[in-house]
Amino acid sequence: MNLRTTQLNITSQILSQIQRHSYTLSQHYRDISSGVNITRPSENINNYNKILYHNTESKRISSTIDNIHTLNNTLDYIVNSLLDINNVLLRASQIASTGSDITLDQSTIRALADEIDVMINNILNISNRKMYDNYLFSGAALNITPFVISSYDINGRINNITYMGSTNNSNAFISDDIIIPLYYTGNVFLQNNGKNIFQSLIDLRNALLADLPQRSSLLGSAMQDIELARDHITGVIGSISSHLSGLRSYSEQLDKLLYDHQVMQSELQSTDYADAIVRMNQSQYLLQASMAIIARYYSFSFLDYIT
Amino acid sequence: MFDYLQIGLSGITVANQSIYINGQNITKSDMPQYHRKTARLSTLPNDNGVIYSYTHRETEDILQKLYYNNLSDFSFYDELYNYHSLLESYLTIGDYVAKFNDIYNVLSQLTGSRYRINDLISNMHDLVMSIRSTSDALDTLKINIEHQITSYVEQINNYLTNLTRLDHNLLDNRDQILEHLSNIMNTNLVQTNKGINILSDNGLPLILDNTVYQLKIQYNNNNNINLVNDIGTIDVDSGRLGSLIYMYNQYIPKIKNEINYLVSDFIRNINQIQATGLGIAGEYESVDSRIAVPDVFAPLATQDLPLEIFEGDITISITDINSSTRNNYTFHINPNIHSLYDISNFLSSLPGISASVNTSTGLISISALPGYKFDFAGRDTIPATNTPVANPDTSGLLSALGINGIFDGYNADTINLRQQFIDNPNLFAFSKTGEIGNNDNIIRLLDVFKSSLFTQNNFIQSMSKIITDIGNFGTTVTNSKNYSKEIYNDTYTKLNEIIGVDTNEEFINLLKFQKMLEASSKYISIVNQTIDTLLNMF
Repeated sequence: MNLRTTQLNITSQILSQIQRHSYTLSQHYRDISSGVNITRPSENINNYNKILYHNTESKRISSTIDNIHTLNNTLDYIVNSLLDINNVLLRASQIASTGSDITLDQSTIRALADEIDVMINNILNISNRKMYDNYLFSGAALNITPFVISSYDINGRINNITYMGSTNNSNAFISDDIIIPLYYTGNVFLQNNGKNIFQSLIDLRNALLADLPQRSSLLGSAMQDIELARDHITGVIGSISSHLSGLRSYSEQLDKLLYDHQVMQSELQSTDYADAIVRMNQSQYLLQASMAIIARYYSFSFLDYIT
Repeated sequence: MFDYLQIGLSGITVANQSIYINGQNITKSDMPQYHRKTARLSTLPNDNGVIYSYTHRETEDILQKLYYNNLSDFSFYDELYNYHSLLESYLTIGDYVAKFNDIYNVLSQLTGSRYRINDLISNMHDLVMSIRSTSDALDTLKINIEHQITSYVEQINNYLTNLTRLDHNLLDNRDQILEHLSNIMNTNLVQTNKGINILSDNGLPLILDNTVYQLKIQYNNNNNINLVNDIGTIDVDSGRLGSLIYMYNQYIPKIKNEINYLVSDFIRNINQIQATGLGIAGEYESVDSRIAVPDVFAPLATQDLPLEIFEGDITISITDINSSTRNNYTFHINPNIHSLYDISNFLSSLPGISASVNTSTGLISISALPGYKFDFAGRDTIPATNTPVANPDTSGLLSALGINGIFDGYNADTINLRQQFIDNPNLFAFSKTGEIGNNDNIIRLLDVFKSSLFTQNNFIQSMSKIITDIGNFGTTVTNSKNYSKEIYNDTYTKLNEIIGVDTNEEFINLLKFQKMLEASSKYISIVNQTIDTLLNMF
């Protein structure tokens, strides 16, 4: 069959080419001007899903790192508070040792007892410390003052301190697999023999104020309690410090992981400028060529040769 | 001898007519569906010259039919591509994932400190706005598509009417109309002695013996669009109209259902955990349901509620404030048996609370009597009997009725963040005990992001699945559009190569007929001179 080259065909083919090159060119313009090469799922569904995945993971990891930093501050403060208490207890232990000297006069003994009273108040203040408006040692009852003076003796000295906080720790979420205690209950101050630190100090003070025959044995018992309290506090400090150390090391790992996710996301999503510019130039040349062809086609015809 | 003059005259006449047809070809060379014409000549009786016999119109019926089919296919995918691109632009589903992540992250940070509570509210609000705007966008897209379908149906009816009015000589016009028609929907042309017949893809007549059966839009019970005429239901699954009907009846509802399913599950999980926890505001003095039960006396399973109620137990804890005692009461719910009224009766039978059902609104209200409060957290009794309830609502009743939820509504169209939570963040039930630092309920909320309480879905993964489906469909449509365009272009080119006008060929023919005219004139002139010579001999 004698097939014809028709004007309609030529026009429609060149028009189709021009449309295609213009569209490609506009895509390259968009990629270059926005810096992003995927904006819709259908453009590249595999990469789009990967971008979402990396984005989700990056956000999760950032959040976990933020959580760790926030918790670190609180746990550091708790450790510092417990170290303060430990220092006080160390001094109390020294006082107990000093107080067992039977040659001390009554005024010195009384001064030592007064110092223990100051320590009791000191530890009461420390144990009622707050961070971000939350009590450190009230467990889940963050808004309730954990330790309150419940009775005084006839001389106006503290005779009993009661725990008012929760029986449950306040747990913090770090990640799907890690939930740790953040705000501890008053059990932190409860040593192995069932006494709390306050009671041990009150007993020490009372032992100092006791008459000589019993003082030595009472002081001996009080010293043992203080040592138990110190051991307990040291144990709690060790436990929290190990949490802190673990979290810091975890946070460092997460920093690296976060960087990797961000890099992978950027590789998938960001425009490769060198590639995009070369392709844009290529599209421009193709578009110009298509336009040149249509211009050339219409610039002459068989009529030009008919005279 | 005078016959010789007749021969010359016939040459001039035929050359004239041929030049006229040439002119038609040249001037209409850019007209779509113009079929090249050729003058067909024959010899006059007794070899007395040439005569114009008829005008031949170039046709290629099989290719023509194929061209219409391919045009319909390409138009289908082209329209689908256009509207799917619009849909992808409207759907900011990637934002959903980001907002789910934001909520998850803020919740996790709230376990360390409550200072980001306002961020939680704003992220939840953003998520609600995003969901609602997506839902609205899909509805708007459907309305626009419906208008476009109406417009296409009107165009089809006009084309059909015009086809029956065409003179049988105006075949190019007929083919032009058929081309327009094929762009909207595929049809089959059957020419009979009685006139033109146009049939739909499923064989129903649109034109039968020159009688037009006009298309009409009909809606079925699912609000789907059907095209009908007086003969029956017309299947349209090609052309731009076919594409729009597919988008309207199937694709957009499918996407919307998937989003609704996900949003509904999300709302339900959050509301269920909220309802079975405690905020620092403590136990409740009164709560109301937010999802209406049409017939409060009928079994709940028969009420076609948007969220299913399962057979299970619900435990309510009632606290006597004066005596500081708390008791737990459990009610077994069988939705096939129990009505809202039965539940109300059970609650009213308990000491310290009363419940009532409003038969006109279908809602239940639960109130504590003076000196009492209640909750659904499932805590141990006071004094303790070591009988806390791990899951105080295994029936899902609380979230199904919208009792004490954070969100109102039950799908993407109706979701709303309840104003009372924006006004008073202390109402967020972050704990199971009511203690400010108890994070058990936040951890339950975080868990549902991994696995829904009701469907075991992972919200992020489910969202990614919807995105993947949309992306894959978009890729398929783009590829199909490009592929069908290639085929369409190819058929168009082939058809034009046969029926179209090559202007160079026409110019050469023009020269040919010009020469024929000149030669015939010269011939007449020579015959005339010969006759003159012969006459002068006398």
